Amino acid sequence: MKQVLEVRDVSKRYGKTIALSQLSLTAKPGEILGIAGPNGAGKSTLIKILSGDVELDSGSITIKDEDGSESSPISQVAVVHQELQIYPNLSVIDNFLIVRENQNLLRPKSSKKESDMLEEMGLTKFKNRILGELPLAVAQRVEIGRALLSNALIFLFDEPNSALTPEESQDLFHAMHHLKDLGHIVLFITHRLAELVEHSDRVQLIIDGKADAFFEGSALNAENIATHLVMEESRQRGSQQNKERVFESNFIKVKNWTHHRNAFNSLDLEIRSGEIIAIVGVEGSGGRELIRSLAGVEKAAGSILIDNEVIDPKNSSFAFVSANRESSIFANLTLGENLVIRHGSLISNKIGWVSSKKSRVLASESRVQYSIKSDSLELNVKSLSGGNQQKVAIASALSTMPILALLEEPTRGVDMSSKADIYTLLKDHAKGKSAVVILCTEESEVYDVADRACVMHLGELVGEIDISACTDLEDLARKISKFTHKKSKAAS
Amino acid sequence: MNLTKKLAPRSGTSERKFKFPHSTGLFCALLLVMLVFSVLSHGLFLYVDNLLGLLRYASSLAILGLGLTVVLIVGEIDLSFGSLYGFCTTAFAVAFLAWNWPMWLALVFAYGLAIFWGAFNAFFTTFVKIPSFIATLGSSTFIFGFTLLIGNSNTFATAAPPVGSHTSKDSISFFRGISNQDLPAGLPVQAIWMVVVMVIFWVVLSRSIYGFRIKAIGGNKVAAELAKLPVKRYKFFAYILCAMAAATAGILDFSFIGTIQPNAGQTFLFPVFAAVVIGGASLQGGIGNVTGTILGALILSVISNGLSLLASGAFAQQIFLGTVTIGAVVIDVVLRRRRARA
Repeated sequence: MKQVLEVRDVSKRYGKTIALSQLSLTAKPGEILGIAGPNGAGKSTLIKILSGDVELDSGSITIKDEDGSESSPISQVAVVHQELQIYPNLSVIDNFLIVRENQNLLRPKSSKKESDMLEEMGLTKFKNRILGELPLAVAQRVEIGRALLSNALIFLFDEPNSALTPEESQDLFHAMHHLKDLGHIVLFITHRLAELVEHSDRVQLIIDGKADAFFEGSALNAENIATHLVMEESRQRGSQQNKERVFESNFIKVKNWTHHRNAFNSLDLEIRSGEIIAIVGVEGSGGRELIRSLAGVEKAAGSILIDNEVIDPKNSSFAFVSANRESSIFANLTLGENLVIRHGSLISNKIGWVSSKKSRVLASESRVQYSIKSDSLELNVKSLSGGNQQKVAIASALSTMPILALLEEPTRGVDMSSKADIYTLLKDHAKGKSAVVILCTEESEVYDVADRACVMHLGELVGEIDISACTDLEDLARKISKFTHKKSKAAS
Repeated sequence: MNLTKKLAPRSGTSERKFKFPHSTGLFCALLLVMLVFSVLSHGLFLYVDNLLGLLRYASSLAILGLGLTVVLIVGEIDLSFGSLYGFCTTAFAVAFLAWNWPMWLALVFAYGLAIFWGAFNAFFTTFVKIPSFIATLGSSTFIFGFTLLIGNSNTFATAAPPVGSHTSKDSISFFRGISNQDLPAGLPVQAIWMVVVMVIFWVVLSRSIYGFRIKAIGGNKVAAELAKLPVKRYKFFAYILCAMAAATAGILDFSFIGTIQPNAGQTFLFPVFAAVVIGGASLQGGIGNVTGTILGALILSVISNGLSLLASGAFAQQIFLGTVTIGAVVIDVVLRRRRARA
């Protein structure tokens, strides 16, 4: 395989918005080409065009053979991301067999080809399991294997590990390097700079729909890229505001909190007013269940006391924002409507008559307060960039002034500058008689925004870390891993 | 829908994408089909009597359709409104004619039962979590069974009350007058009732927090639950509203025609669905509005009336209904896909 993927002068516009403008790049076989850029820079459009979901306006995408002949790559592209395109209701092996071109009417039997692929992807023990019951990490490997079986040439990894644990991520990257060694063309899109630098051979930045800076060799390091991505600026902003924060104890107490599916048992937690707590824990640690049960969207037994008064989280004013934007945004509503959907009495009177003036005022106030970049409140919320959509989701929850705001991975898949904005919003909210609890999977997020980290591991709260006592990010990471390690050792 | 418009800032409309207003398109379509049938029927279509009959049929479709629209917006489906039409009307007729209840009490009885059945449908879709398609398909048959039971499988007629009835002639003629009297210019009173129902639904859907929230719930149920909107309560609300609309349509028709058969209403199922889908309500939830449904009902009545004027036979009606229903759903799916890409 010596084919080269060539993207030449590709442009794409949606209405007045220019998604890609004369973008060119080349990806060679046997290398991983990293792609990074702020949200709304056109990365997702590029992926959609490469995978054939969207047609380009002008330019060309071709695969060039050694002999100079050109062909369209569309049928040879496989995308690996979080929304899988495989069959969750079939077993792993059936997912492999379904791509085979059938010769007759009999149900296909697995041959050596498929079982070799199971071995190659480390899936042998999952062979007959139903895919939908397996973790995302396994499903992604099934997707890769399936693509290999159908002779895919180009692999697009689009934020592939944002929902994976560190261990699972390593497995995925291993598979990614395996593809590279096989001589495939691999494109790796991520917001995580450390991973981008570690795994890519070359990195192409895309900014405003154009190919921006290009990094390879010794120039390929996180600092260089970060400078281009205004990350430095946002980090400084983050640490400055860490000071002058005031907390008051005896605010919210969680006692004997037990999840209905036993993701955690008799857990105690104190939340001080004015603070931001980061629940740190990988998938399966019980962190996600903890935050969801505190919000009252999952069941748990035990008691929550506010100022020594027992409350039911289900009926409380605790507001929750899911990590998954699909379940925090109403795609059929406009931006303005999304901003006020959680408000009942503020926009309507006793019999339920909505005052359009009140809602308009409220929505435009929110738009300004939560720094959402959009000219009109009437736009469909889906037409905003990912970062702005996330701000809308957060704004709709925070604007109801909940005494406790619970957010899962508030900056997942969000660009650097939106990230900084979101941290500021959270800090602004955690003042006076309210607090914020977030679920974090990235240590840098804990360091940038939280006042205190609560480490969850195997369904237990194994430790607490005062962030202001951490000297730097590495120090925090060390403390977190110390807690989880101690626990693991004790368990074994 | 209207909240959307109101939320638009006064300035900065340059960013607005050009959207062809759905209701304008429907209105043009209505005029077009009227024109076509006027020409094809050599003017027969335009006879006043024909137009008034058409308007009356459209009113029934529209009232039923508005109820269905609410259920579709909240992201569910209701196949039982046809049975509810028959049930509530029969219940009213039994109470009014056979049990000699005063009219107002019989009305309260009928609407009370409508609320009960609406809540019944909602209970099975929200708490028992049966897909609403199956739940209401089942309840449709179930309710029809009860219609036969309470009415003893009888057809009730105001002109010939059941034996033993001593409902006064006056109150019967008062009831008939609700919908069967001529206003100046010969307008059917039922059209006035349609306007009243339309205004009520417009207020609920476009001006109330219920309408706003059911749109959100139908658009993204998971997000609505996570935002702690009272999803179940609003679904009860939608089903009850739909059942009450069915009762209203049935009782008004009974007042006009003077007879009610137990299976009346069953034949409305497809025309109403077609009208609502033509009107732009999405079967996937979250989208639908009053004007669209009314125009959809008018378009459907015009075509169906026109086809019968051309004496095309019963087969044409059925083929037409099937085509229109599938066609409208195809358009819905295509539009949705295009919206998702943009």
